Amino acid sequence: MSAPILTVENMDVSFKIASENYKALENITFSVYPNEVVGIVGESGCGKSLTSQAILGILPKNAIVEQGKMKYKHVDLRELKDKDWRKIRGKNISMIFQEPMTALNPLVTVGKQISEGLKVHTSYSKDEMKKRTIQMMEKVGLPRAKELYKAYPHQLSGGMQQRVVIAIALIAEPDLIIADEPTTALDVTIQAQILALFRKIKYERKSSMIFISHDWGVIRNICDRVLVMYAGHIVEEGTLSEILNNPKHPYTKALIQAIPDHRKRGIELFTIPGKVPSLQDRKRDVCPFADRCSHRFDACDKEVPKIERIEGTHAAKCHLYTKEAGLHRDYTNH
Amino acid sequence: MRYFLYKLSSFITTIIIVSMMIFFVFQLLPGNPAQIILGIDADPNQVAQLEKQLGLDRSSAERYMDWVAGLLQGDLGESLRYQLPVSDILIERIPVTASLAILSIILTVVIGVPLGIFIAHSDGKRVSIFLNVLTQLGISIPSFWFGFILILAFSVTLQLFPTYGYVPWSEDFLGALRSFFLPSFAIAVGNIAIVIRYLRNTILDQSKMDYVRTARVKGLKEHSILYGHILRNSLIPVLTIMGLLVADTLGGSIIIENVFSLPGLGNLLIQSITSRDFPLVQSMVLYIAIIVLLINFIVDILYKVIDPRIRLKG
Amino acid sequence: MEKAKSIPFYIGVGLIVFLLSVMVISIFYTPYDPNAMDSANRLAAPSMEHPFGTDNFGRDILSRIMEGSQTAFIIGVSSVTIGLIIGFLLGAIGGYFGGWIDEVISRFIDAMLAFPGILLAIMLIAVFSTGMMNTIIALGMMSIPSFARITRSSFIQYKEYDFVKASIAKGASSLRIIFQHILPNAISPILVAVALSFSGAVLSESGLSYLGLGVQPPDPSWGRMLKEAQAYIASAPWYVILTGLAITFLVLGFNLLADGLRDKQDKKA
Repeated sequence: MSAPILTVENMDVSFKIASENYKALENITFSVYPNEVVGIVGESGCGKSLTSQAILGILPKNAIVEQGKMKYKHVDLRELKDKDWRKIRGKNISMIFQEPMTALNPLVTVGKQISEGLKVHTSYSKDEMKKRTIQMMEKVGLPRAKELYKAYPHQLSGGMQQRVVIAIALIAEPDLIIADEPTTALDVTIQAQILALFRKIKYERKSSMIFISHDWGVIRNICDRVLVMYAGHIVEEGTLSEILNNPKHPYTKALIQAIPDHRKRGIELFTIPGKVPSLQDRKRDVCPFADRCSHRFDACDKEVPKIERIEGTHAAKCHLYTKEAGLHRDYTNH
Repeated sequence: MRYFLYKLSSFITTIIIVSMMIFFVFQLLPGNPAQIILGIDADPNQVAQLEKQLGLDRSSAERYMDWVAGLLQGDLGESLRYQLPVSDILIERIPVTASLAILSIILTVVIGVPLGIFIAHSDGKRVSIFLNVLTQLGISIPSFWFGFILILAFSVTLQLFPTYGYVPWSEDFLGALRSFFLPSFAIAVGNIAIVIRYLRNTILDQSKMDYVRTARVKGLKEHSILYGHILRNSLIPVLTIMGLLVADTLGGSIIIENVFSLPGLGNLLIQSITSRDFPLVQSMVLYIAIIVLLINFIVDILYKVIDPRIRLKG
Repeated sequence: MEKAKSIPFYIGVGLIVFLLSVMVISIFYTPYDPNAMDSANRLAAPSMEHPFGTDNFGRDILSRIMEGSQTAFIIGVSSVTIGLIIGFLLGAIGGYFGGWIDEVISRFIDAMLAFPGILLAIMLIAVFSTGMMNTIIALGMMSIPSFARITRSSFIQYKEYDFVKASIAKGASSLRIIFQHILPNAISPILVAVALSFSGAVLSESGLSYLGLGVQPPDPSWGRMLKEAQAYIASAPWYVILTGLAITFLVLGFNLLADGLRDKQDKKA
């Protein structure tokens, strides 16, 4: 396999709330390889968006990366100064947000918002920038691109606005695109269209993507590999089929069990009891999922499990699979 | 268009109500107005004549209609003291007050907007508390007292500006500017503080918006994010308070003209109150109120024209 | 951080408490008789004997400023009370009942707001003549619109809340709904308006009295002192400066108080 585009190793992110430090991300380790779409799933509040914000250096003011490595190709992202960040953002790594309506500036024309990325990262002439912007607008499926160039965001429908946001992210031809719930705010029919656009981008542009979603329908449609996050930890990772067909972590299993499906019609949908603990309520030095886990045993309350390779690329962070605890335990398949 | 018609109709209704209010208040002059105007020991014949001139022998409704009909034809009545049509007197005074107001608004924008932007950058806790108290001080200072302080500093001590009096623009442009500068600044100081506080707050609010994150992720410089994105969105709300600021400026000029002895509307208003020239006072109050309403109306329309979200709606 | 943000609020409270104490003391004690003239000692600069100097009649400026604080507080309290009562009633009626009553009241408030600054007060005083009482009434009228607006919007806002709707559905009487549900929630924005109207009244009174349209002798007034002081601005600058500072500090105190109250209210929301 070729060298990864992005490597994150043992990254911790903390929030400072009222002079108290709260760990929001713990020991985050993963890589993204060329032409690969990595999905991050989990309930809200698990740290999916925070992970992507850390990668782009746009964490909220009271959050800091405490330790760990983040590398884009050979660039150490943690060492970057503001000036160097600006060269990476948009040009190498770009981001697509959930809410297209608020992600766009209401008072700036669509064309200007898209072409701005070219203005900072290239030295094209004005005409060339406009030409490329209109081409990009056509590529993301915006009709009458020449007319829409001068339109303001509120004149567009939600789906079209999201296409504009995608065009903004693609215009400077980045090789890593982070999409943070890009379809969540849209109507179901529009969701399908935008998802189709993402698939087109995936196959035509050959760029890597991190695709954040809580919706397995979306994940299953586009991702090659999946990271499952819970309460600031990556609890399981593997290829799409490994995760979907052979989930290991009890949290992943529960999530998959909770997917609505026409075959389950008539049966009451499974839900995971309890909710993701808030930042202030998180226990340290125990398995973060223990409180909601149906397989909880003594090891779970003693220490945080290490991530354990199941086979190949498939790994889980659960005491059921750790050598110290799990193997000594009589665990029958569920 | 519908918005415009709605605003126009409420503008006109409000003018009508204001004119009725003013007329009504002046009907409340205790006792016989003619007697009050002329004084207790006036000649009864004169009183009778004035009664007729004021139309006191007719009903209030008739007199109101007369007044309004006159106003619509540009006839604001006749001043008792000057024995001249009110409109002739006002025309002489308006340029002074208008110069004062315009210069003061220019100062407010030219000083307030850059300071507001500059201060939005400094979000250090100590600095922001200091600025908070300082701008509140600007709002709290009585403008006429600030006028004294300016006179004390710049006219008496430094002798940079004339203390009192008025030089018409046509006579000496620089001289006029010098004579208007201190009074305009005295009126502007409170408004500058308001603009700074308001702009700083909207910039800080706008900085938290998602579109700012989008702009940052594009790789834009903070400078370009501020001027290309945040400022556009912050200045529109500032425009909405411009109407209020113009009203404040006109209100402030009533007092300031008296501090600096400038022969404007405010100066005339106080003189005519002291000399009991009620027809003049009544018309002037209405005139000033209409200017305020008109400016608010224009700001309302302008605001909608500038904001594409509203301009391009249907 | 919370504490640091409240510093301006405490400065405001401090200024108010200080000037309030000065006012109370001045009722019982002033260094000199505020009206005692001393022709031998006119326009004396601040000294140990007269810390704030003397005016053009040789009267002790400190004593006169102390006495003037009584007028400032009386005008502030009385005019705010008038404005609050009338404004609250108008706003409550308009906001609660809506419909044509609300339309009439709103138009009336709009019309009052068309008078910039102290013009409304000037007009009323022009008709009813000057003096303490008329100044209070005129300034009270001036503060009606802000109270009416705030009360009206509170009433409209809370009328839409489910807990209020529920009691209306249960058939609770209007008065009961107003006192139990709407009023407690409307209190904090009204308190902010009280503080702001107080500072506005003090500021306007000084302006009116400076123009000769406000408080008349023998009632003491900071604004009128400034009118007298203006003639001696070059020869006795302390007279102008110290009198104006008294006004500024009282106004600033209430403005900072209002700002602090608004911050607390925003945080609660």
